[in-house]
Amino acid sequence: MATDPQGSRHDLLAPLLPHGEPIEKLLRSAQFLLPGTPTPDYRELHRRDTRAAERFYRDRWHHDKVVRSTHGVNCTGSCSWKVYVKDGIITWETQQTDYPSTGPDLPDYEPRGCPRGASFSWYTYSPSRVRYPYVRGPLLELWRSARAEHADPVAAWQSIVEDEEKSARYKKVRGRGGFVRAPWDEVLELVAAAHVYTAKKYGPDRIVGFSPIPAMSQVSYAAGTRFLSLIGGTILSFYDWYADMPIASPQVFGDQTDVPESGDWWNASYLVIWGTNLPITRTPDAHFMTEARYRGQKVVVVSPDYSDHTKFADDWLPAAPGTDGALAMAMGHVILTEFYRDRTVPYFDSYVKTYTDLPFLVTLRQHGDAYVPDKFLTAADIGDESEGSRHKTVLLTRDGALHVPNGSLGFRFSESGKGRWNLELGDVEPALTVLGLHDRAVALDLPRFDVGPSEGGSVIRRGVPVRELADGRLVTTVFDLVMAQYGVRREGLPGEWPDDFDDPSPYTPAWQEAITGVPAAAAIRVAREFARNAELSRGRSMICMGAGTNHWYHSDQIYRTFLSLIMLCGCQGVNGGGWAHYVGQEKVRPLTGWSTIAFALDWNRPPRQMAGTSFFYLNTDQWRYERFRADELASPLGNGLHRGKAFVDCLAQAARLGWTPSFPTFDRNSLELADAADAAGMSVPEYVARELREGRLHFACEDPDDPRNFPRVLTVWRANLLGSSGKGMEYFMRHLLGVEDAARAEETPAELRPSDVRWRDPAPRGKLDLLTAIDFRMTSTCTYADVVLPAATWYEKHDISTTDMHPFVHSFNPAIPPPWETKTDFEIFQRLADAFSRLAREHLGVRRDVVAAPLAHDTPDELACPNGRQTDWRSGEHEPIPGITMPKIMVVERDYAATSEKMRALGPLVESLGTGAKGISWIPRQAIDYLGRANGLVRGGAGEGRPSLARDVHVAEAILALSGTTNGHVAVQGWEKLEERTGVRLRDLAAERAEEQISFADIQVQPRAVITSPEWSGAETGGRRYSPFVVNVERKKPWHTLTGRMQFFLDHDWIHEYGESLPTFRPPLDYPRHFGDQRLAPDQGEITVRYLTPHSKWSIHSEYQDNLHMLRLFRGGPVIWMSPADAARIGVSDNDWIEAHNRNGVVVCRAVVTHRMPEGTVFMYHAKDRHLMTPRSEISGWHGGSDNSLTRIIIKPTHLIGGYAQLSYAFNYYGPTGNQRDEIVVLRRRSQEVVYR
Amino acid sequence: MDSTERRTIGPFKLLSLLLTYPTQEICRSVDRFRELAHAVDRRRTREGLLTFLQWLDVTPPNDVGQHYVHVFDLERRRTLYLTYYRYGDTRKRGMAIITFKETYRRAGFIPREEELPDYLPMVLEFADLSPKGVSLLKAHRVELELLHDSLRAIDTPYAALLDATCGLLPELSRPERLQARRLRDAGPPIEEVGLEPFAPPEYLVSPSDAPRIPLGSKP
Repeated sequence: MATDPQGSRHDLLAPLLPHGEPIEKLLRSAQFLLPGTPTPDYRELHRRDTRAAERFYRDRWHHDKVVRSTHGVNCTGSCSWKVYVKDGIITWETQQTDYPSTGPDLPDYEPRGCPRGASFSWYTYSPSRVRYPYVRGPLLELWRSARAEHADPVAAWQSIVEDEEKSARYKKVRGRGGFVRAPWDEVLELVAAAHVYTAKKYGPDRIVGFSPIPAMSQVSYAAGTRFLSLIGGTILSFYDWYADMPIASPQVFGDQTDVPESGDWWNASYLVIWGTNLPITRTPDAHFMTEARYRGQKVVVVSPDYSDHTKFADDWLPAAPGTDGALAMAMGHVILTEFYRDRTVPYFDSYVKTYTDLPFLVTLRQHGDAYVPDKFLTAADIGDESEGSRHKTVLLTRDGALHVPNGSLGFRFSESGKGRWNLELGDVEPALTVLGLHDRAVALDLPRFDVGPSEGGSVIRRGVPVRELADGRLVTTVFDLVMAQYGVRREGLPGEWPDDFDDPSPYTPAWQEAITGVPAAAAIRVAREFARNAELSRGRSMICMGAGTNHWYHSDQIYRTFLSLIMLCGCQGVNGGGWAHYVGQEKVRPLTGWSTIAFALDWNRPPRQMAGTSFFYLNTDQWRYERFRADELASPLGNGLHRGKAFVDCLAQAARLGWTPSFPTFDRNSLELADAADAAGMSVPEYVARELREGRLHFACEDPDDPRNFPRVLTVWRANLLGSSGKGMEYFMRHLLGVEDAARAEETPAELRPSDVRWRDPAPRGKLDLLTAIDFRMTSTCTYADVVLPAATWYEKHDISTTDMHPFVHSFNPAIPPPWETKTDFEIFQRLADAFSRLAREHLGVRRDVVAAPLAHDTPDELACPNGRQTDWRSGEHEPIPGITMPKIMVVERDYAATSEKMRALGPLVESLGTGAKGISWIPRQAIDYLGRANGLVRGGAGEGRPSLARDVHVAEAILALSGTTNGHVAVQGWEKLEERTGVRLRDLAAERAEEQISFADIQVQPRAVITSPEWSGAETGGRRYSPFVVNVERKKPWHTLTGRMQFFLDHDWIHEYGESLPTFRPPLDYPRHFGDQRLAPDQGEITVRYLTPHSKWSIHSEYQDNLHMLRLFRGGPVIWMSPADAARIGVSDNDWIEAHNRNGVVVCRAVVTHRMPEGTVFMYHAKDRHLMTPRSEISGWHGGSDNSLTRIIIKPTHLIGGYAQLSYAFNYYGPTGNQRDEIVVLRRRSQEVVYR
Repeated sequence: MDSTERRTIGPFKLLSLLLTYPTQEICRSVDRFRELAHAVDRRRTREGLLTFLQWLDVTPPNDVGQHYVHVFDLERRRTLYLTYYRYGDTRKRGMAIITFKETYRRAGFIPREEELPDYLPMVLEFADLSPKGVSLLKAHRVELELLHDSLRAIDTPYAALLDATCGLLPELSRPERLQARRLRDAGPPIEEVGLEPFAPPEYLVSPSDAPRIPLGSKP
């Protein structure tokens, strides 16, 4: 044993004190006695603590309270968090771990929460947080001097905006700093005065609000839209504008978006991930995907880059960007060949006959020496004159008889359809194909888009078996058309057909290989596996899809090709199967309560809900920069409906036909029309129709550059419009705001300009009088706003959050009160309503407002255009008839002075007209009674005796109480209503929870799982995972489509015009051809590449891109990802500064050079705010822009269709998408010296 | 008399007021401030105050407000919240803020809830009321130096107020000077919890090569 010779001398003695404290301490302190004063009974000892500071540090892990909240950030995670508060300061946040279990045979949802959520509390005390109300200096100066001159604030505002010099003074300095703090009351008076003035002078529809994604904070969303709905303002949709709206969903399902919760991935045995990066954008849910692999699930990834989800793939199909439709068509070709033609799969066969339109008959129309598909055969076509017959579709039975089955649109709203709107076929056995029952076979011409001189492509000849009707018309089934479309050869049919899978003609695996780059063998393998798995598991094959395949101009077509695979394999409406479309936090589970409160449906109807893309396309004047027209896209098989029409002409036409909304609506103030009708001695609808017909009244969208038609006041809250979602950002800058921009696109040449929409020169700049941003961060939107109002964060308010990813409802709760001068969105709008009401008393009073509402989905308006035919009153074909051939004209009485009182009370229409969702309505008596008791009744004013909505928790309570998902009474009421219409048993879906009501207090305690409700199409009954359309499949409840089934075939005139009646492949728009070579210096190292803007790993959607924690995980500033080959061509090394430019604008950023990227494509993850390390551009001499500087929207006319079955307008349901993925950019290396000012 | 009411108005109080947002009252009272500033003993402080007041006197109040927002409201590197300089966005900052609160309490003051306890004007007011406040300022000498540097870099009249403040405190010690330089060069520390290396060290860049984000958006 080794011993230390020095230390061993004292071995036997213990050290004097532990750690060898000096003897001095022993000498100076008592060793045996403790200081202290005992109480007389010696039960307590009182000591003076001399080490209070130490105790303070020991207590650092003790918290005063732990508060449950979540993050309202359009993050589909919607995770519950614990927020730790010590001494009034937020010090910490950790994941909540008290989610209800999913049951014994499934992984649980926990743990939830990711680094993005964990870094949120940074915002609360960030030095760059917006803490005070700000007004730009020059505007405040103008305002104060105007107020000194005018006692009346409205007159003061008028004196500023009607003076060109004065208004230019504050508009031109937007985005140039110069904010000053101003007191709340003063700022709100200014904003309110602008509202009152605008409503009075131009009409309330010139007052506009933009706030996206209600699900992420429903009370905060509702606060603003409720105010706007009460005054008649315009509320912009966002889902379509974000291009997250899958237009194929309304087209195929008649539903906006309904998808499985992430727990249902566990039930899938074959998972294709196609355009959504699950581990990155669904971080807290991705574990279900990895866990399911242990259960034997196969994962196939289709993605152009080696992305974070690709590494989980068993099979990776790297299809070229935008060609996904070609791959899916080829897979469909394989499935139809092997699982339909070569043999019959009983499960598939009975599924498609019951739940899809495949057995329905379609008429054919002669076209040249062949035929083309025309319209669904309806009962009216075969001599049935009864109610609804023009919307009852017809099928062929196995014994060759025509049969009108239940469940089509004709049964949905008619008296005789009561109890018959269902998918029961009884003893009828439909024939899938006419083959075998056919009279003859005819040649059929079908559009193809992979080749051809224009975007409209060319024609391919196939053939179908047909039956001849008594009147000589030829009909065939949708199935036969689909077989022809996919090119599946069957004996005895004329036309050109591929011989086998190796024949490179549409739509074989070999054909797609040349387009997508995916080997034919891989496409065949995955198609077979997908279908075979579905056959064996009865539909448990799933496709997760998202922005990667949904942000394209022709995304609706891409998605239809995906959905066809799902439908052919019987996967939809089955747990573990079907489509799983994931984009934003789109699902407001308590839908009825939310929509009732948010759009003030309890006080007046209808609200002015506008399609966001149409609004911005018009009002940022992006329509003035088109290089081709709507007819460029038309199929040669069309009827020339759009010949010579600009896109904006299509928009104007759809607006005047009532198909799509149009706010601002007329070139006259909507508050004056009712009085004018009275003066003319006519009813308001009659008067409006007459004035339109005689050309004395015009739609604002026909002359958007007329100052009378400008949107004047825009309020943005919970959103970063200019920094994140503003596609065509530089056009926003130029036309809406009137500031400097980097767009260099030339305006449309004279010969391509619109014919119905007036062109004015020069184009206006600075249309907006007032832009208000409400936020807690100084976003790009705030930096360009005239007024910035400081919002409370998500740890400082009461609110509700839900998501499509899980079935739980979450609460937000204030951990601390809003600090500094910040206020909740709820309080801000309430105070704005107060200020508005005060000024409105004198200036507006009680007025009748004429609202022109579009023909609405899920209402009898869907019956307006039988057979989907376009007829236009403008051309004199018939009269403009409100609600049939033009928008509905409705009069809403508004007591403007009572706006703030109405904000604070639940209005009477919930009892008289009831509430409802998706075509059914009911009177929620129990909920109203409950709210009166829970929230208390209002005393005095317009809301006398009504349940109070004065506080944010009252609103939260109302949202929960009025919705079926959170109130069992309401759910049962809704199901009973639906039973009356369908005649099938539904009530039992909610019966197990009929007495249950989830209150706000409940969700403060724990996240609560929702109740099965007719607001949605899936079922949670018995604790099962949510999968959409389960109710449709299991209970035979129809889809909200024309046929009542999921539809492969669409027969509207405009759809035919674009050659899209059947699923097809349309390649990305050919921008190089349309816009030419955009290089500025081709010989100095510039390349043109495809430009994609996917969702970032370090942020979700608009938020977090200024979060330093997240920025530090990568390079901090904006970057573009590119392949080594592309980088080499322009001499770029990793991290070099580059510029990306095109006709729309310029981006300056660093390059990320990585092998993960395919050649010819670059990524710029969105969305980085413009103030984060964005240097000056060498090209524009102005600051580089955000990712949206390089984009400009082009609307797709088929998204404007309305008034026809599922192709009818509803807010965020149907409308043009703000797609941006077809864009190309030019890249170059720039000087590595950058300057920021 | 309330213990927070003072017979004499010292330089800390003046600095505290002048570093808050310029309200009308402040802008209108330049003469009164001047009178009080003249009475300040220490020359560096007196001159700093007078320099600032001269600018305040000749500048339209609206411009003063715009300038203040530009200087202090939205820039991390010029924030008036002292803990930010040392703790940045790390989770230590919350505790550091509470330490200020605790210090006020132990000296017998209750901080108002409208502001964060590390707000420089609050600390200055504390220094005016209690010698413990001067100690607190001394303990944050480095932070004040960084703020002072950032203000000088944009040539704002507010730099004079920081100069005046530093004039009331001892010069930086050598370790403080080193620390100030380190923070200036590297920015506030970054959060490292949860960011442990996940690969062998030879695959990781050394900390000195790692990309750094300078304070603010500009390098």
